[in-house]
Amino acid sequence: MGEPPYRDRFALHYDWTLHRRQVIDEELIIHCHHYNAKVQHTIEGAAKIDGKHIMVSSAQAAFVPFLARAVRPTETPREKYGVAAALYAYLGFGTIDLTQIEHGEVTATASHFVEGWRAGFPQRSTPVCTFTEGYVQAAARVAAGRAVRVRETRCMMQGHPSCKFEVVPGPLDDALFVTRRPFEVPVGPNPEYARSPNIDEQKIYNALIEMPIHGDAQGVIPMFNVYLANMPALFYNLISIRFVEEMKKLGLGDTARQLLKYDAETCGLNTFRGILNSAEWDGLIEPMMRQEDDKLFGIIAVSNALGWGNWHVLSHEPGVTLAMGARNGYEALGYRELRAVTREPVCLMLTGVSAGIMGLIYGEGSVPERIGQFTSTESSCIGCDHPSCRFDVRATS
Amino acid sequence: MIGTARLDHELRIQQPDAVFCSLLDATASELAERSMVGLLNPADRVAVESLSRRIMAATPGTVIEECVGIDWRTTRRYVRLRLEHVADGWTVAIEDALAKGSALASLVLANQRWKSIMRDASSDCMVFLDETRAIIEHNTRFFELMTFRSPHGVQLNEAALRGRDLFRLWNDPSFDVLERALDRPRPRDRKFEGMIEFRDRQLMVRLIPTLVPVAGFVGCAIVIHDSTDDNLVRMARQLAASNAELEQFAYIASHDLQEPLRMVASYTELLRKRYHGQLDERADKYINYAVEGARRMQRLINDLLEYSRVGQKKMPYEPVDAARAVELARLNLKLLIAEKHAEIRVGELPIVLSNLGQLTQLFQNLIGNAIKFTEGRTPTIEITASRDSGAWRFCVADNGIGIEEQYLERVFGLFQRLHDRDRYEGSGMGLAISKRIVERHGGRMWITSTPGTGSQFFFTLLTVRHSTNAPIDEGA
Repeated sequence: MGEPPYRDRFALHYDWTLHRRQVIDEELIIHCHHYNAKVQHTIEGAAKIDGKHIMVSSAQAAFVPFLARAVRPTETPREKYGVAAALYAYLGFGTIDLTQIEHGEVTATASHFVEGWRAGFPQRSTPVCTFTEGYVQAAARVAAGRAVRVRETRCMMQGHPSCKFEVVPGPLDDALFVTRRPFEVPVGPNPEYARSPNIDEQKIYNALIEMPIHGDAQGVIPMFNVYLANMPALFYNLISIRFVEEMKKLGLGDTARQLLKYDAETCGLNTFRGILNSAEWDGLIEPMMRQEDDKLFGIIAVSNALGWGNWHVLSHEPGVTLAMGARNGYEALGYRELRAVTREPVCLMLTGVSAGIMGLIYGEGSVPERIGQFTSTESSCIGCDHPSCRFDVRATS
Repeated sequence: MIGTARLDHELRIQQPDAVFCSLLDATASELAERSMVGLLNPADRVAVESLSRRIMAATPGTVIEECVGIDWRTTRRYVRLRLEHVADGWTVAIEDALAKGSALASLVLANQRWKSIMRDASSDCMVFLDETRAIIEHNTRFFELMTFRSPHGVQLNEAALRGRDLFRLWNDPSFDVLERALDRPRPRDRKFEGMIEFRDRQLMVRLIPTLVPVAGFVGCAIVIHDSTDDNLVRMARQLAASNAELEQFAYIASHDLQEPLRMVASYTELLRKRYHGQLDERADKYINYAVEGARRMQRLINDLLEYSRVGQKKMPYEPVDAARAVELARLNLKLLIAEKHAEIRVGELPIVLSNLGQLTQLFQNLIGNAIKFTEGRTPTIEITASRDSGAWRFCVADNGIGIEEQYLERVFGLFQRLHDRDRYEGSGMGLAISKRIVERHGGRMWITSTPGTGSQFFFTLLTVRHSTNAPIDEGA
């Protein structure tokens, strides 16, 4: 495989203090197909809201500023479309051909969303590339200044050899622009974290930062036994916040929040199972394993390197409890950038994942049977103006 | 007893009736305004998630039913919960799913017992298919052994397997035999049991149709025992590997010897033609010895080559009519049969999973042998087949000279001759080749004989038990 185009332009910057991954100043979170597909399934599965619109408008809102920084003012629209297609592939979303967009057509021949769905969910006969619709709308806006509406007319998920998107002029969507208030990460002394003497966290960070986690020749990232993708934190925050807000209007806010936690728990179980069974884990982390809870510390180090936030173990009783502290989880910081202080904790992903990780390491039975064996609660949250986030996990009684 | 209540749009309890309250051991005022979802036991996570998703996707008129745990103070119940989305909220009905004597409790408990067995009581893989061959359920062992992967090498998870056509996932012709079994017209015949090689594993596979009264065939269970690491199988594999090397050696040796031997035979023959009578008598005798020796060696090498070919060729097995194989063998032996006025009687023969060429050769060797070793009377050969523990046992009986008991095992050895070459021609390889063909089919071959009366050659075809067109023993 050759070097991806625009490699220098898309160079990764990793903030070693805050454990954040950035490309062209955009904070990226690496998640796998389980999480991406499951969250999409949840949001689009709600009957009385337009979940699809939340997905499309959030993708569009997240990528307009990102793509605007990725292109050069001197580039032609055609060249800018080329950059947009290259970024799409670099981030691991697949291969899209934007050369015919002015003729109203976009084609995708590889897709993180299709492959992810096939690898992680039951068969379905409806298109899955909602995210791509929003991405192409953003590309049209940035590359040609056009307001368009994109609709997937056929999808590889339905058995077609490629995905086709119809592009028609559309109204400028307000959701295209979001206001982010600058929010400084609370400073303060780090608590006394529990660590394993056997796990060399720095070595894991170094290896994962140096690892080329970007799209292959097809624009997908099959690594760690899962399909990975680099997604702007803004996208995740927008879909989560908008979904919960919409459901709240129906009196189902708690159900929506709970489902997003469930999605993350399932993701934690499946993603880290994939990681534990991967060649990358075998080569890098398995040799460090000495005691029962080393797996936990290894997994947390990996998740920090994936950009999930600066979270660490506060205390841990193997198989029984786990307390995690996060100094800059992307959900809490994102919430504060997009909304005001809230009374309800907002780190739904980290809440669910922490339960999933405990289930994976200490649960019984098959992975599907381990769902729900541990329960996690976010007892303090930066979103609620607390200095840090804390997650308490215990075995479900 | 069914308890009911109304719920508002946010699923908060309004107006619970007395049964509802008694099932939760609570008063109406204690339950009022409580979230129904909040009463669900978080330990019953899968049911709670399923319920939550369906609540979220519901529109007025939607009915949701689920068996789920309820947790209220010290009261824990497993209930059947029925939610109906109405214009001004929801109605809910609950009943104790474990109430003694109820049909529902029987079903719930039977289901739990079944799941425990599937999960914990067997180290074998189990997978259940519906009538379209789509996966409904499987145990962990199945998931771990199969490790289905995407084209990029990413392992498919459990949810991705559900609803998928198992045979498409396998995408391996080794499992065609299972598909053929499922294609049988009578549901009760859709059974299979046999060894299948998958990737580098030796799998003992059983297919059991699921038949429901009135509904009939609703799918099947497939139970797979991975015998790769079983001691016997491991030893057999080592032996097979060693045999394969020897076969390869025999094949190469016999194949490569043919050419120089052909030259020796040709030139000694030429020598005899050109110089016969021109040298002294002793020289003629020596040349004759050389010619005969070369011919014999050619025959031996040809037979050795044939023997090693039987071991080398990986013939595709398919349903073969054994009667057709006998017919072809008779055609090939037409002259010998006519010359010896041999009488061949053939009983009803089954269809077996085999290779027509090899099965023909097997019958040809046995019939030819029977005719060759009959003296002083008309050769009479009888070919029959019968069921033997689920396999087919064939018998080729003759009225030939018979074999003494101490030689019964020897006759299947390589180059084994019990008689002078002058009396009966041949290399002594015919029965060795026959036995090898049978063994390649997973069967066995043996002989019984009475000197002066005749011999009976038996063989079984075992490879796939239920490969015949005969009805399958229900008790098998």
